[in-house]
Amino acid sequence: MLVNYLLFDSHEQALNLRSLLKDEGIRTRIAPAPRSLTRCCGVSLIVAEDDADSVRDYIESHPGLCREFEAAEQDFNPNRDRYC
Amino acid sequence: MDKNHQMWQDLGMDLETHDQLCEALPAAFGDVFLTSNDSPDTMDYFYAVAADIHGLRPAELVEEQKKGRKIFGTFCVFVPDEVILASDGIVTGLCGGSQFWVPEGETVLPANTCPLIKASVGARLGRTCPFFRIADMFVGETTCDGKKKAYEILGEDVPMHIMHLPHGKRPQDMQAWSDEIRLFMDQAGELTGKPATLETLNDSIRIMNEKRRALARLYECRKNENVPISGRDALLIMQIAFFDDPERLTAQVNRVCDELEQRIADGKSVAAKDAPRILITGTPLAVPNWKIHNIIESSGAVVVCEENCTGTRYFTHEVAEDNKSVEEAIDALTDRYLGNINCACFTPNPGRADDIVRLAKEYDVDGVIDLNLKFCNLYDTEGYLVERRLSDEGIPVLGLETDYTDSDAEQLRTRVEAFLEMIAD
Repeated sequence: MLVNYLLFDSHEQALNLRSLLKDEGIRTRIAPAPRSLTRCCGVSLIVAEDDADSVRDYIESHPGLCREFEAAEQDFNPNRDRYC
Repeated sequence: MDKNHQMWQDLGMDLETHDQLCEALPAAFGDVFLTSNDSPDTMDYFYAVAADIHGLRPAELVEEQKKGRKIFGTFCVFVPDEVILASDGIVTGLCGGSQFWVPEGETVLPANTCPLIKASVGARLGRTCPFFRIADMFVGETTCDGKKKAYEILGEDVPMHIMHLPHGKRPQDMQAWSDEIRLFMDQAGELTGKPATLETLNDSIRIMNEKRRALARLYECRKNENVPISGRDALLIMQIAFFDDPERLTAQVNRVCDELEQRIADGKSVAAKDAPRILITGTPLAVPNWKIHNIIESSGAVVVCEENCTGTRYFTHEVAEDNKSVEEAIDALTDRYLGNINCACFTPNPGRADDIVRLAKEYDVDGVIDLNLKFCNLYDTEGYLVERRLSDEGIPVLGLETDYTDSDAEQLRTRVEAFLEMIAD
């Protein structure tokens, strides 16, 4: 499935936007940014599909809060048993 | 080049190989931590640190080094952080919890060495761990034969200081450990150029006690009938505690505890009412070793306590504060570390079984999983006495042996599920 990721230049930026979106009633999850979207092992925020349009509107009206908003194919499964 | 890669390149790391590890993290993290929706909001800090585990903290350490501060990499809970802090040093944990580093370790160590040791040595020799590149001094200890010999090999590549841990708790052992702490204190002060004083020792003891109190508060929350945090999240906090700045860590753990105590007041639980409560005992679970917690909790149980070095052994018992002399402070450290940590390296070691039985009651567990890393002879052998004692006490116990590979996960799941079924009857 496609997962929406907010990508950042720093973890402070990620925590800040997470807090701002929470104030708007939008919950996000902190996750490592997938390598298919960025070469850096950075911090990203996962946005639920239902909230994607609201988030897009928010970051467009508040420029500079994140680097990118993109989607990547991810399938999280607690029974996969592939650890790192 | 992004900031992380620039830093890793400056540290002399093998970027291409390290990128393979980075590639595996997002899926593994997602499988373990993002497949439930009941994590406390205040886990945000710990998730951010984990998401950039080789970027955030290493960058801070590099900045502190530029200011002239020294970084001490440690391998074990017996090394007293207070001594390092009192000499204006910074303590960091080291990589050692992934199969990724094991093959490199096996190039110099026997294959029948425990995976924690192989991974640690492999992480240094393979140049794929920033913490192993940053540290100015590595502090080892004589808790097992594998480590003792591995430190000799590491010592050819890095500056090592070895603390000779006695394997008993007799008065002469206490004196010997006190002497070791004094020696280490001299060594740390020599490296930093800022020898510990009574004032800095008392300050560092207070800082570490506050950290212990915060972690104890976290565990206290897990005793509740309504479990407010998963074992996976609690384990991640403990793992990060070995790497983070102690005062910031304390603040962040207390922030989580505020939320957990509110959850308890609200009767909110992350586990089903009838979910079996499990205590894990045995060998440490270094980051990113999340395998057994994930298997247990994705099988319908909840881990409420860990009696191991990444669990209660790390924070139980405080060091006496407001000491009147350096000697008194060293005695206080000796008492806390040698007197109160019950590691399988001691003979005899009846205190550990006593601890497990007491914790099993305090946390109201339905069963204990005695989890040991392959080739850890000490814990594997002590398992006989531990498991017999638990059986005598009527506490169900399952002994498991594993390593960092994924290949035994299916078998572990089968055994864990059978155990959970048995204790549910």
